[in-house]
Amino acid sequence: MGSRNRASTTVMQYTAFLFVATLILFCVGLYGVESASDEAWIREAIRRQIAANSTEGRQALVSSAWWGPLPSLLGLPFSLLFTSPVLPVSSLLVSALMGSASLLLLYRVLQKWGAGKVWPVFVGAMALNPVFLKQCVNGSSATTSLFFTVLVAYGLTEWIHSRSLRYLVYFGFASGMLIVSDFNMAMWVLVAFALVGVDLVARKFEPGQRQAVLIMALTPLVYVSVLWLLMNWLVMGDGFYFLRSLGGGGIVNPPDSPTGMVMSHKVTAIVCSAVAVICVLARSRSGFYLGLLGAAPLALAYYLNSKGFFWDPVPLLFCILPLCILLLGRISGKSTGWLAKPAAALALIPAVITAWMYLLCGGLVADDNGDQAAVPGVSVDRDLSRQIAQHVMTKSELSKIYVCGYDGFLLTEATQDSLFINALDFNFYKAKDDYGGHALYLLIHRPDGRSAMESIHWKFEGIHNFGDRGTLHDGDFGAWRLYEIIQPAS
Amino acid sequence: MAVDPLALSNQRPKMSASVPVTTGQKIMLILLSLLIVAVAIRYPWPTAKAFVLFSTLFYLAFSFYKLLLLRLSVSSSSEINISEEQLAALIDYDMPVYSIMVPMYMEPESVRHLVQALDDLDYPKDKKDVQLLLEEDDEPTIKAVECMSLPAGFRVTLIPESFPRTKPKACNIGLAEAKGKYLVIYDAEDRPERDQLKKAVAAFRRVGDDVVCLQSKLNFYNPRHNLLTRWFTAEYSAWFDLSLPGLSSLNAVIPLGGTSNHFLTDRLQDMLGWDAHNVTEDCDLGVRICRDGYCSRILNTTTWEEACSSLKFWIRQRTRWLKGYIQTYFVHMRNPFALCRDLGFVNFLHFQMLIGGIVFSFLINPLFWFLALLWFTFRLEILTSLFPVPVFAMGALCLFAGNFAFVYTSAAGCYRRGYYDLVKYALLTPFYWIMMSYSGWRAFLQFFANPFYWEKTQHGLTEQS
Repeated sequence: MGSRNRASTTVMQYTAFLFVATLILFCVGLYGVESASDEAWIREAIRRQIAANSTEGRQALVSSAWWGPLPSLLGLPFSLLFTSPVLPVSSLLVSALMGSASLLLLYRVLQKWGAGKVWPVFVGAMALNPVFLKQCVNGSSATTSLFFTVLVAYGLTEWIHSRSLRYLVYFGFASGMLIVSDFNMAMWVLVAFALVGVDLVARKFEPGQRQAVLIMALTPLVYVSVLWLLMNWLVMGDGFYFLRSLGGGGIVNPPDSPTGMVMSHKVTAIVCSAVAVICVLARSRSGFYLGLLGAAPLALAYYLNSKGFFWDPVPLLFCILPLCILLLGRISGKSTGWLAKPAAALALIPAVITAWMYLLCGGLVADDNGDQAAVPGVSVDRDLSRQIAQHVMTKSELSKIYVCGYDGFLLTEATQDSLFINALDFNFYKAKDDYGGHALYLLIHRPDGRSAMESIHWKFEGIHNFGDRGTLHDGDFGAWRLYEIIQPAS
Repeated sequence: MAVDPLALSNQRPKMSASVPVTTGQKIMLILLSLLIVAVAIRYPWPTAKAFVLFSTLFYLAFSFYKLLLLRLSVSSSSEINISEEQLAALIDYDMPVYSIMVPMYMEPESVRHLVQALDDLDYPKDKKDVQLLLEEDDEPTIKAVECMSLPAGFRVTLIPESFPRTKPKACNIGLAEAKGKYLVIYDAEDRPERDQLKKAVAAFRRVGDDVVCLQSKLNFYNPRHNLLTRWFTAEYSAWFDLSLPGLSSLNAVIPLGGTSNHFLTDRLQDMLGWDAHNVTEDCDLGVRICRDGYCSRILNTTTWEEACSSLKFWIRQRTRWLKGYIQTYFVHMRNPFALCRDLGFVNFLHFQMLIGGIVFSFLINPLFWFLALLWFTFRLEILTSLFPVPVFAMGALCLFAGNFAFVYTSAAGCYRRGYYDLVKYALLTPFYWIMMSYSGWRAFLQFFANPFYWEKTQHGLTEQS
């Protein structure tokens, strides 16, 4: 009975921590709401549209790989409970909650691994990290993917160490959730699965067990992927709609080119790899795999950028620190040989410090809003949308403006005006059918960064620069270009 | 002393299913039905919406409940494990007499195997008190037993012909004549692990006085016979290897499995044994144990049974089980306040989920599958209006996340049990649920038409084939 009481007390303590930390982070987020990320407003708008049962809401939920549906869904209950047209309440709550949960998870993992008496330092390093704190209070979904990243790494490490079903379930579940939180992490998840495969081969499992492990690990991932396809088929009429942006579109100004990869990335990647080798020497199989996982984000970000893929490196780089901390905790824990402890810990400390200092110096903060310069903040949008509205209304009071892409939610959020209509799957004929007799306009964001991946750009290539048949250039408003729709394009 | 196999229904009639639905319950049911029909006629659409809302909330709660059990079962060691060293430390002369009861009916082909299996149990032979409970009119089985020379410690107890003709009635007669400090029930086709009795003794010595029952895990020795047995095995593995340990860690009410329940004999006698009128007397006893302030625990040892490999007999067996769950629900909900007081609020909720919830889910599943099919096929707008956004959000969560959780739990059960090759079959269990729902409706109708009818499971099908 004593252990049961202790367990329930611990659960109470954790719950209390989650509640208090979330509340504090949420209040900080509310206080500095003017610095909330664009994503916070966009997700808020998506949730509001879903709550209103609108087609745009459903489309926004599933139609782009770059806007994973899970963070929007996580905030939906908050959005239904606390409706506010002027504050991104649900986004702030989700980022605060998932940030707190990530911290708690990290703490529990390090404590479980028996990371000596230094785990408070590790957890403190994470908790006080400025980029982490920023993501916790600015309403972005980065903390959601961070939580699942840590869970994937933890599940994999423990499964390799103990072969316990529990960790296989954690790993499988977290992998699936990570994909639908942030598609940028897909390659990293694949690396994690590759490590599972390598381990299965290396350990000479019997075929039946190998198959069962793969099924247990892969099923959640496959399931959510199929679900995403199904939703796209139902909502967009094309099961692969959300993936189209990965292959097409004009890639302009990748935010972090290979030359822009700073030295600290490379150093940390090398150090993580070195630690992995040390773990091999120390016969710590799980430490070896965790080392590879820690090195993978940096290597992937570097590789993908060097190949010219638009692959947003921020989520990949954002998980460096927790992965390094996990690795540090693992090798300084009880479960590894004596060689690993001093050597690898010493090697990792500069890596963590380097990464942290880099983050502290703002390298990642700038990247975080890589396309921010082109996307005005909400306060600016309010003026911008007013300008556009005035411009259009002077011509005809019976007008409608289709605002393309997810960035368009910033405009519609700013005005709450029925003049603007979000368009995530714009169709000339449908627009004419829906609003026959209206003067119709198309507002397109410059294809910068993530905006280049919007469906309007891969459906109508070059439309921002040159328009399309049946459209007439009407004006430029910041990064937005307005076209008047004269007649449906063929 | 005359044995009263109906002691519970005679002495504590409120705890017995001898009257399946009391007059008060009948009145309540009729009034409620009339009210619902009247409201549905007057306000059909709001009534439908209210029903959808209620069902969706139930599904949501049920899905989270299942996930919680899965989380608990994979996270904590909530079952009692007895190590080899602890077993070796047991001294034969210090072992108490152990009563073993095996109710049988028309199972002559099982006798030889059974006697052999029980004789092989690793327990001092002079401390075994084995009773074969045979019905007086079951000539084939009686003859089969007479043809054998029973080992020492074995005896036959004849069950006189009387109403109701159920397994728990036979068990009550056996219980009155049990000599052991501990007692266990096995079915005729059971193959318990050899050291199960010793493990139970060691476990009883370790746990507190409030534990009166240890439930062994049940699984099948013919899991790969056909697709049905594969699914059945996946279900059993998830139930006994994941859900029950999860419940045990919550100190929750545990619906006992049909066999391999180890009891403290005197406590069970004090509780007046099994309800002879309940067709899932094990489930009912699990609830009564909790109501009387005791508890049950899961013992990490397995009894191997035969999985029913015939769809016809599987449906009959499942119908009986679900009918028994309905009986149990009605018996204990005669006075919900008393139940809540006896169990405590949390366990009251467990009861609602485990006993009422399971049956309710099987009953309403077909309706919601049909609605989902209609929507996916025809995109009927009328259905959209049945699901306002919050309800739709919850419904979608249950449809996509909840159902997945159930399937994944089955796969996890197979994995934990070491049936690696069955994991892939567990992913197909939604088809199995259709049969469960069919049995659920059959049970529901039978509960009102023929509440005490015992649809006996046919064993030996695997060996025959």
